[in-house]
Formats: sequence, structure tokens, C-alpha cells
Amino acid sequence: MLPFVFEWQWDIGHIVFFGLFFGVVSVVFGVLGLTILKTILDLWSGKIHSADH
Amino acid sequence: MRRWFDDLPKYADDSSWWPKGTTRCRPEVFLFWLGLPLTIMAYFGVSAFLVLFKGLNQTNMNDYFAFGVWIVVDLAVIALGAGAFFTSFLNYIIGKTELKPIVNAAVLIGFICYTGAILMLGIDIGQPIRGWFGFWHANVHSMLTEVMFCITTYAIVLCIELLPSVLDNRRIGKVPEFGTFSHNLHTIMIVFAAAGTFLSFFHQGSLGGMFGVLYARPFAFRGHLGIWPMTFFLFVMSAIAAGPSFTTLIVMITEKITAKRLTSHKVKMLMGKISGWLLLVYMVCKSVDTLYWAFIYLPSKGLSVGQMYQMPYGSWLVWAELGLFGWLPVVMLLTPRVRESYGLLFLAMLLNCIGVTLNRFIFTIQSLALPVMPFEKFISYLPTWQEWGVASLVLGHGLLIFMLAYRYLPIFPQEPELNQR
Repeated sequence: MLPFVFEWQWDIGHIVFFGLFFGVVSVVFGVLGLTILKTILDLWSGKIHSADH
Repeated sequence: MRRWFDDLPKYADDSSWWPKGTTRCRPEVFLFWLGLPLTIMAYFGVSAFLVLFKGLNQTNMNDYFAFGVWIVVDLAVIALGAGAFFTSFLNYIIGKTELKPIVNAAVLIGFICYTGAILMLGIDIGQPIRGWFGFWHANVHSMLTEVMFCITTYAIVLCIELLPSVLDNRRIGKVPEFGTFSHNLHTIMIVFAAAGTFLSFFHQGSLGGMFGVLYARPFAFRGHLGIWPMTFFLFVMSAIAAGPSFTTLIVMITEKITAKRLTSHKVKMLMGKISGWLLLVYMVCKSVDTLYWAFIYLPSKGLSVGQMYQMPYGSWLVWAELGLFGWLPVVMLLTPRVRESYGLLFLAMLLNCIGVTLNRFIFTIQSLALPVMPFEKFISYLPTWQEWGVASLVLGHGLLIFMLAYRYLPIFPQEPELNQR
């Protein structure tokens, strides 16, 4: 549920529950995105890790 | 010694995909054994089709038993899968690196438990294509909303935690992009372990909290600590006590089936010790909670403990849950000589896992079996073969994933060293 959905209410229950949920989801997907970005930069600069290296 | 299949022709050689320094059975033998999980999944397929096509009349659930074997199995596997988050927490956050040889197995088993439970719940909700409604039209005051959000998000975290093991496959890891991504994921795994710990803590707790807030069910209702009923904390404690035992138990069963040593006994003993201490804390709290409920709470409401236990769910369940599958594994797991013995450690961990499963059964089935209206009777429940079929998905799906992972992924880093000849 997002704040623009008609059922959304600006009360403490919604703010705490969804604040924590979207916080954790942001951390998980944010860190995953940064790891993918770092991998692209590593590959670009020749810092390769593989079974052969 | 030559075996019967040694003379069969070789159809394909997948040995270059096996983990480095390990040996596996021949592909045709592996394919033969894959028939077992596939048969179980076919049984699930037939049962799921009947339930989805014909409806819940295929089950023995009714107005009394809104929850049945699916919820019992769901709660049990979620608790048993807690080894994933707790072992990751100890390894990555607390720094207990002695657990490193078993952390991959713990994550794999957690992944199997959680994805199996989610797939099974897809049938339980009746219309799986509307499963997303829970996210979009969330009732923030419901314990089940928290459970649904946390279980699905934690399943995603488990996929990410399992990803390095997949990318570390001998052939896949040779691809520079995958190898580099896997290396970078390893370095940042602490963040996923922390997120997994947060999510797991709350959904394990909320599964218990769901029962503790049932005001109309005297068997399940408990006093509160803050906004959470005691069952919230008891469910977290029992899950983290049983999870490491279940992980070790699966590793031990795999060792017996494959006739190989996969982790050192020292690691298993440490898992047993951790389980034992956590189980001790849980059993003290659970025993105090049960005594308070039986001798203070129930009499204050004009009820007696005798009314709560009627056959077939008689008082034997209390002795079984708290005695045979509660205090006995505590004593066994905290005794060093028991942990040193492979067989006794196995037995103690098995008793611990049965205990948490029995606890989830009691909270789900017995809570609903008790009459709450004067005109109601004490009734019992037995699942239909279709219900068992849907529940068997966890087993079939788990076997399939575990067999494939054991064959191709470096789940057990100590295996090459322990099986050197």
C-alpha cells in the first residue's frame, strides 16, 4: 500500500508499519543495486574475481 | 566394490559442475532418485488442482477449523527454517565464524522452508492470483499482515543470501561477471543478514502473537508485555532454539544418505550447544507461562485447566510438549557427553524439532477444538488426503532443491577436506 491509495490513512499505525517495511525493502534492494553497480565498475576497471583468477 | 549401475552406459558427465574436490553419484542414479521428489510434487499437483478447482470442500476444514494441517505445517517449517536467520546472525553479526562451515546449509534449508511455506499458502488462500491484495489493501492492525509482509520479504532476502552459493558453482563461477558479483555479495552479506534478522524476528513473533490476541479463545489468549502477547516472544524463542537443531539434523541425515562427512562434529556440537541454551531459556519462559495460564489466568475467568484438555487432545499433550520434547532435549543438548555422541546428538535435536512442531500443532488445532459457546462441542480434526497432498509440497519441493544444491553447489566447504582418502 502506498500513500496515494484511497485506503491509506496518515495515522501512527500506517506510518510505523509501512515506514519500517519500506525502510527494510529500500535497504535490501538499495544494497543489492549498489552491489550490482560495484560489480559493473569492478569489471570495467579490470578487478575480476572468478574461479580462474 | 562394484555396484550394479557401474556397468550401465554413461549418458552424460556432469562432474565438471560438481563442487571442487567432491564426488557425486552417476547422473542416471541421480535422475532415478529425482523421481522421489517429483512423485511427491505430482501428488501435490493433483491435490492442489482439486482444491483450487472444486474448492475447500475437498478439505476437512469447516466453521470450527478455519486453520488445519496447512497452517500447522506452515508454522512448523517457518520455525524450523529459523536456523537460516539465526545462524547468519551469529556468523555475520556476532562474529561466530566457527559456524561458517554450516551457514550455507542453514541458508539453503531456510530458503526451502520459506519458499515451500509460501507456495503452500498460495493454495491455502484459495485464489493465489489475488495474493497481492494483502500488500495493497493492508490491514496494519493484523498480525497476519505483518507475517505476510515479513515472510515474503525475508524469502527475497534468502534468495539474495543463497545467490553467492549458486554463483560459486565451479562452472558458473568461471564467468567473470558472475564471479565478481558473487565476491561483492560476500563482502556485503552482513547487511542482508541484519535485514533478515529484523524481518525474521518480527514474523516469528507475529505468528505467535496471532494466537495470543485471540480474546475469545481461552486456550490461546495470553497476557501482554507492551503491545505484544507473551506468545509473540515464546514463538521467537522456540524458533531460534529449534532452527539450528533442524539445520544440523538435515546435515546429519544427508551425511548418512551420502555416506560422506559434510561438516566436522565440532560444528555440530556447537550448533547443539547453541540450541540447548536457547531451548533452556525458552523452556523456563514456557513453563512459567503455562503455570501462570493454568493456575492464575484460567481460574480468574471461571475456567479450569481440565476443561482445556479433552480427548483426543488430552493432558498427555502437555507432558509430551513440555517433558519429552521440551525439558528432555534441554538436558541432553546441555550435556557435553551427549553432544559428543553422533547418535545422541541426533536424537536430542530430533526431539527438539518434534517439540516445536507439536507446539505449533497444539496452538493451531487444540485452540480451535475447544468450544467457546454453550451449544458447541469439543471436536477433533483429521486432514483429508488432498490436504496432506498440498502439505507434502514442502517435502517434495525441499527434497528437489536440496538434492540439486547438494550435487552442484558448494554448500559444504569442509566436505573436500573431511573426505580426503
